[in-house]
Amino acid sequence: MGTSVKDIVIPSNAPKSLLLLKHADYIVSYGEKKDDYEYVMTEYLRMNGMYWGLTSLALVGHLDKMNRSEVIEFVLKCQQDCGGFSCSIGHDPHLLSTLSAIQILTLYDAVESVNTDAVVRWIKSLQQTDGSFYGDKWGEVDTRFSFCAVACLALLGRLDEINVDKAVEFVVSCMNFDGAFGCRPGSESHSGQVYCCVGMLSLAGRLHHVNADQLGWWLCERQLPSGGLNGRPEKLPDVCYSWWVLASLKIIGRLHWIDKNKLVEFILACQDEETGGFADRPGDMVDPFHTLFGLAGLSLLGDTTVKAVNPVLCMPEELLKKSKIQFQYL
Amino acid sequence: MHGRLKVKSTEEQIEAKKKEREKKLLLYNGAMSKIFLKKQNGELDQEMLLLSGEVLVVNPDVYTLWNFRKETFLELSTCLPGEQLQRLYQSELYFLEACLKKNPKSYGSWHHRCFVMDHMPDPDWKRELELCNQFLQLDERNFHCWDYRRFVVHSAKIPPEEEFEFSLRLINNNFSNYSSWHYRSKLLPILFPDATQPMGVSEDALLKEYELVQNGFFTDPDDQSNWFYHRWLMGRGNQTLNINCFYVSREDNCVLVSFTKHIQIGKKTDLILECNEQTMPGTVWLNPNKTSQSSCLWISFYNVFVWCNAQIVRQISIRIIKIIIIIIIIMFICSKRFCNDLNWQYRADNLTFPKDCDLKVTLVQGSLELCSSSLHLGENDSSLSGSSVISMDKSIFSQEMSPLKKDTLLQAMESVLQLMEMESDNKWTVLTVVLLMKALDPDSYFDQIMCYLDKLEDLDGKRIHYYKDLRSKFIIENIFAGTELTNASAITLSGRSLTKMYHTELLPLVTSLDLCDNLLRDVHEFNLLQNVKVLNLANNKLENCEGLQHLPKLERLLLNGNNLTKSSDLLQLTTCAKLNFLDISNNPLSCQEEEIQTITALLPNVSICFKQQ
Ligand SMILES: [Zn+2]
Repeated sequence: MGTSVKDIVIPSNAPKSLLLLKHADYIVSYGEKKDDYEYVMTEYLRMNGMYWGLTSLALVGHLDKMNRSEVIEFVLKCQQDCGGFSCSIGHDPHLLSTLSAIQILTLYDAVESVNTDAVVRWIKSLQQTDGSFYGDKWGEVDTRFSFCAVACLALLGRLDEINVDKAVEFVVSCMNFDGAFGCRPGSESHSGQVYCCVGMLSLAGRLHHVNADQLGWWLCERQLPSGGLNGRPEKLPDVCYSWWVLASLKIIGRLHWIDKNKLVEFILACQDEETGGFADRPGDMVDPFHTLFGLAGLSLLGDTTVKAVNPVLCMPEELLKKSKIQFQYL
Repeated sequence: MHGRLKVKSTEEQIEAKKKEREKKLLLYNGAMSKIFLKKQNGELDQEMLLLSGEVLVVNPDVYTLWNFRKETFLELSTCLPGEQLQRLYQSELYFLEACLKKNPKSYGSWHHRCFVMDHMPDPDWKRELELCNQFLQLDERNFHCWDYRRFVVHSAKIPPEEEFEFSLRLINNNFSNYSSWHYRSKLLPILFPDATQPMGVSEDALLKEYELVQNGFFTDPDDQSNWFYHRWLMGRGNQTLNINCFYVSREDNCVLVSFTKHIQIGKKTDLILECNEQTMPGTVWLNPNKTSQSSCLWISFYNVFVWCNAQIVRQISIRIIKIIIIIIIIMFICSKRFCNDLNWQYRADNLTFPKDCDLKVTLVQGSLELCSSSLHLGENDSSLSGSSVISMDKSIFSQEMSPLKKDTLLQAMESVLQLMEMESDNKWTVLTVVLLMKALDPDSYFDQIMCYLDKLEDLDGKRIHYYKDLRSKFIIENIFAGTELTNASAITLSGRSLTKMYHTELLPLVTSLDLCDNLLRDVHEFNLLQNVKVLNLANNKLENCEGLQHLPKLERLLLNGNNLTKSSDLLQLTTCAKLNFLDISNNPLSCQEEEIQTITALLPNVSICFKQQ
């Protein structure tokens, strides 16, 4: 009475090669339809969306297709008095949008145009005595926010402003029986959370807390017969997990534990030949989020037509080489 | 963004959808501008709840609106009487339930529910637990709901026994329930604590769990939930902190201490070196990378200043020594950032250790002694090692398995073998048998383990390199278990198809390591080989030398027949001061004139073989 494995079948007519230019066009045109229903309804994700789009363009070498000063002006308008950034003008500040803002400014080498002291002060104020981070003043705790805080500070070169030991202690307390990580102590393991925790530990230089063989096994078991990766056991494959699982495997030195060719096949099949862009699964609607993680995944898998991506911060490697950020890899 | 199928629609459908969306857009924009205007005017009232509610029920991810609602509630709670407030919160819970039914995976809705429960005058926690049951019935893997359940259980002080029962109900309903198994892994140490067991769970409880999960994989042998839980149950938990090896060298004037776990010396933990019961001052501990980041190997360094002046220092009074030490500490702190660049060598100077002495290292945390090791260094001992773990305990290699008694493991193996007979293509059974054999008797089962690993590579081609690395680990552990690592100066692991090197932390004393004719892809953690003089890595698959930096004694390095493509792949070797022979023939880089010139300039004191004679 065994249950069959949850998976998809790649349609035989699915794309088999990378439609590089189409993706650039997709991102550019997405940003132009500002009155579109779709666009307006995702306002709560605007800052993240811009980071996904701009990084996608940077990875395919077309960042120049966007208006730099327009973007920076928008980002500046989103910095609130407290120092944090909101997702869009008029909205409340949050760590999730703050990391995207700092990443966008780094892409444009424009970090100095905002009040970085205020950002640092605000991030510092969100750390709790147990080392965890609130996402904003309302008190939601999540290891995603630990990653956002540490990544922001690393990008600003101010990691020593928070209690890194305590932050690490909290993240480690979210490790589970399978060697993977969840949102909070006691929460079930999830690949997205694994990426945040492993990335955070890499930036903090404490990857030794990870049992790489155990976690690597859990991660490589995310690969399904279709070649795609899921986020948790017995779930469907999804392009965004090709990033979270893959980046985590790269950081802990176990990228070779999955079948790269099959995964490349899956990611390519998630492209939309008409519009450009990637969807979560073949045949679904595309969006900038899956477009970035599709491209970044292909880059980690060795596709040299996409620029090399940094597995911890999901940004072009050449850009970060200029910074003094220390990344630990196993 | 997830699971939205792209459907081909007719012109008419597209037109109709466009019209509908335009209408929705108008409503949305209208509501949003009203809400923001009200917020600007500080109107945190019931109308704010009404307006924001209209948007949130459609789009619960607009987190700012949840914040506005929270602010409104905090505002209203200052002016409304308790009863009315309770009713208002109550209706907020109904509203949230409607939102969650539409979108059960919205972070914002679930967190807002926590806020409401934390703030309402008279919260009904039992009802919340019922709500969790409902939502988990709809989707037993909804991790938002599981997290909310943990919040409710914590706040309502629900006894863990009841939760344990609840998870059992879910599992009996459907074994394929990773979330429930996960929940049990958290409840077991609370319900059945046993500090003497490596996982902190009593053996009885583990055995019962084992039976339960065995029912699971007999019912559905392809479901990975059961197998992940099973592997955890058979595990041995974490390694305890101890000293692997304590090594003192008179000729190098250095002390090496290798631990069973990574530690960080400096902040809270300190490593104290005593000579004849006197603490030796000025000892600075660094890891093999010459930093103070976590490592399982720590090396003593003395400030250069002390070394150069050691003879003079002895003749000056103690008081001056103290002052000097303070200066040294300041100098060290100042020079810390240069540690990476300064290629410090062990000093050849025999002033540090007296002719005949008792040496002891102790790892302390505050006033707490964590572990220690000591040895007697005689006048004629040039170097000496004391080790507590390395050669004694073969079980360090079966740390992944298992606290259970041997007959339990045998029984487990029998039932899994039985299942394997029925399900000959099931990889989980084969892997489990491999792990059980490794735990029971890695030596006598060795050939069988290797056969099963072959089978796994056939059955599960996607993870072929996982199995190859696992095989390498087993081979290395088997060889090391049969070797006196404390005395072995030369170790040969050539021609064994190793894809990954394991346990370099156990080889701080080895002077010659032969790993030629394998399939190694990297040399990570090779700089734990602090005494290695000859390292043969010929004919592997190396693409860089990351891990070979700061090997103070390395003289001969064979890297011929690898995949090194550019001179920068060899950059790490510039930090190996004693390197005098390097073979890099038969690498992609060794036929490029430009690279050859760069490498020659990079390593001026090394005789380099570029082409095989
Ligand atoms: Zn996705």
